[in-house]
Amino acid sequence: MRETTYWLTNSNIMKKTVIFLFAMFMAAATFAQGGKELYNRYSGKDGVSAVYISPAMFELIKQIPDIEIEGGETFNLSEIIKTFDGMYILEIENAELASEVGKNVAELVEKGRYSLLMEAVDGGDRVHVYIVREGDTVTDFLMLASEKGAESTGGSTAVISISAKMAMSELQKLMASAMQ
Amino acid sequence: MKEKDINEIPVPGELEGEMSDFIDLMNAAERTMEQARRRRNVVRWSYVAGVAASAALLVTFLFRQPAMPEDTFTNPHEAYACVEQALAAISEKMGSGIQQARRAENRIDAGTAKIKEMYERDNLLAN
Repeated sequence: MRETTYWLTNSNIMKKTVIFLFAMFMAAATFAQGGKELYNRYSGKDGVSAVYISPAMFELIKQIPDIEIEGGETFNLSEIIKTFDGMYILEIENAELASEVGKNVAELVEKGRYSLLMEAVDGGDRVHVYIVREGDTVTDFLMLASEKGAESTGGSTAVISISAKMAMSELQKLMASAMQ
Repeated sequence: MKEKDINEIPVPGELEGEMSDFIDLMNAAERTMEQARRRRNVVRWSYVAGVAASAALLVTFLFRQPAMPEDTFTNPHEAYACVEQALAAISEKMGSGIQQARRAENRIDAGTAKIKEMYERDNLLAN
């Protein structure tokens, strides 16, 4: 009798432990997803151009004084760039992969890590901007921009992912510059 | 009582046999209890080992580092130019969204102004 009770109690504890560990595992899997994983998954595949700028390179970039952009206007990017830790850029010309990356990004959003900042559809071109916020700091920025027909007939899909410690005000500045 | 005297006490043959059987029975019971205790310890240890292994797996997964990609640029100026282009692209794409929002806002303003105008005209006629 005592042995049976012991087994019942033990199997209950075991069940709870397994469920807890599984939940932790799933949470970790969700947390681990992001721009880096997307980059690792798609870079090097046919029809995909990939650019990665590491935190070490950003350290070097921060030493460069402000330079002029095309058109001759001086635009101070240094403040916003100083907050960057890494940048991943994917340009996908393959329709199948473009559709897949779109689904991956949707999954990231469904899991609740990224929240939608902006969505715009203009003549078939679609732009989605997502961010991850910790209080007033944006820790991840992800833009998915698809040209018309990118997932069927052609056109390209671009994914730009930035990991940063950017104050929300810096992002607002970038948005303000977009309005000009 | 001396040992010699004890040995001299007459013991009935049946009692001696019963005593011996009882002692054997007690021994067997103790052995069974001991085996059960050991089995329980083994189960307990296998449970602890299972939990420890799962925890180790979880910790490994949590702190695993995905393979670090290789830097595309070796020159910081080239990297800066690329970052700048990326920011310009972001700005442009976001700009088109903001312009759409502005157009929608203007349309709403125009509609509101028309409703306001009609309302004021109706008020004037009523007076």
